[in-house]
Amino acid sequence: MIDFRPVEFKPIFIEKTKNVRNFTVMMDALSLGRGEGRMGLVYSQAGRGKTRTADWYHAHNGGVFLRMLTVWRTSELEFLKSLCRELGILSPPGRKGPAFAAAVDALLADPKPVFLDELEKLPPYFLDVVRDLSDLSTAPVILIGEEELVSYMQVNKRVWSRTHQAIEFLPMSKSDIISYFSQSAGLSVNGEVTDIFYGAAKGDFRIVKRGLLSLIQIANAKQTRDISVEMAQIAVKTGLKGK
Amino acid sequence: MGRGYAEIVRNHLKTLGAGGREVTGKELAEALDLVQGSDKRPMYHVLQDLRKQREVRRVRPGVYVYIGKNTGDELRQKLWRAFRRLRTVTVDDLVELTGASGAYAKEFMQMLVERGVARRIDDPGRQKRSKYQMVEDPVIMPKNEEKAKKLRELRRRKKREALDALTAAETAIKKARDCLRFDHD
Repeated sequence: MIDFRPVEFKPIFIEKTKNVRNFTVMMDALSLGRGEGRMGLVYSQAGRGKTRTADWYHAHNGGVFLRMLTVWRTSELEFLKSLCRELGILSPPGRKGPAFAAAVDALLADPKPVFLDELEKLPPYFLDVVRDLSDLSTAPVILIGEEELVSYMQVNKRVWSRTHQAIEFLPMSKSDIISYFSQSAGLSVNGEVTDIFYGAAKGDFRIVKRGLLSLIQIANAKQTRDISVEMAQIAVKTGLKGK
Repeated sequence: MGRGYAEIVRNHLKTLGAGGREVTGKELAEALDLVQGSDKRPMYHVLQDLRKQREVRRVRPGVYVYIGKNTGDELRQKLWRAFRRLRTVTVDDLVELTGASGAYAKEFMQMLVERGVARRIDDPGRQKRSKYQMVEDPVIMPKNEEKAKKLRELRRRKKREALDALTAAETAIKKARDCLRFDHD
C-alpha cells in the first residue's frame, strides 16, 4: 500500500491572476506620473480580492493604507489624524488645517501611494479632501471600494478628471481556481470539479477558499489526493454554503 | 552552478541596473558572455529565482529592474506593515501577504508580544490558529533587541578571543626572540 501524504493548506498569495497583474500595472502607471496629483480606482463587488491584493502590494512595496471608518462620517479631523499616524507622525496636530498640512508635508518628503478602502461609506465632501491631498502632495491616491464607488467619484467632476487609472476586479476564473488549488494545497482537480466550485462561488474568492479548506478535510479523511466529483459536491455543501 | 552563479548574475544586474535602470535579458547575457540560447537558460533560471525573492522586477517581457536584496530587515518591515494594517492577524495571514515562512512570522509576532505591542488570542479548539491583536501602535517597528543583544555579545566575545590570541601570539614571538637573542649571545 502506498503511504498517504496528508493534504496541507499553504497560505499563498496567488500573484499570477489577471486581477493582480492589472493592479500592479496600474500601480506602475501611477508611479510614472510623479509630480502631479493623480488618483487610481479599484472597484468590484465584494469577495473578488481587491483589498487582499492591495494589502499584499502594500506589504511588499510600502505606502499608506487606511480603511475608512463609518465613525469618521462627521469628522475629517479623525481621518486626517489617522492618516498622519499612518505616515509616521507620532503626535498628529489636533486641528484640521495643521493635521492636513502635516500629512501633505510628510507625503511631499516621501511621496508614497495612499490606499483608501471603502471611502464611499463617507459623505461626498471627503472626496474633495482626498483630491486636495493628492494635488498638494503629488502622491498617488488609490481608492478601493464596491461598484457604487464609481458613481460616487463620477459625480465629482474634478475628482473624476484626476482619476488616471480605473480597474474592475473580475470574478475568480476557472483557471484561477485550478492554480489556487494547486499552489495552496498541491491538489490537481479536473474540469468537472472546477466547474462545481466555479458555479457555487460565482467568482467569490472567500467562498472558494472555504470550499478548499473543506475539501482538504474530506481528502484527508478519505486518505486520498484524487478529488472526485462527489468529494467536491460535499465540500461545496459543507464549506461553500456553510451547512 | 548554484549560489556562486547567482552571485555572478546578481553582480552584473547591479552594475547594469544601477540607479534603477532597466536591463534587458540580452544585455545581461552579453555581460555574461552567453551567446547560445541553451547557455542562457541558467541565467534565466537565476532571474526567475531573483524575481520570486523580489530582488528583481520584470517590467515587461525580457526587461528587468534590479530592486535589491531582500534582507531580514526588509522582511520584518513587510511583516510589520501587514500587521499594522490588519491589526488582528494569524500567522497564515502574514505568510500569505509577505511570503515569510511560518516560523519566521511566528517569531516576529512573539517578539511583538514580548514588547507589549501585540497580544496572542488563543482559540482553545484550534491551537494552530492563534490570532495576534495589536494592543499598542508604536508607529515605528520595534527592534528585536534580544537578537541585537545576542549579536553584540557574540561580537564582544569574538573580539575578546581575537585579543587573547594576539596576546598569546605576542608572548610567543617575544619568547622566540628571547631564545634567538640567547642563542646569538
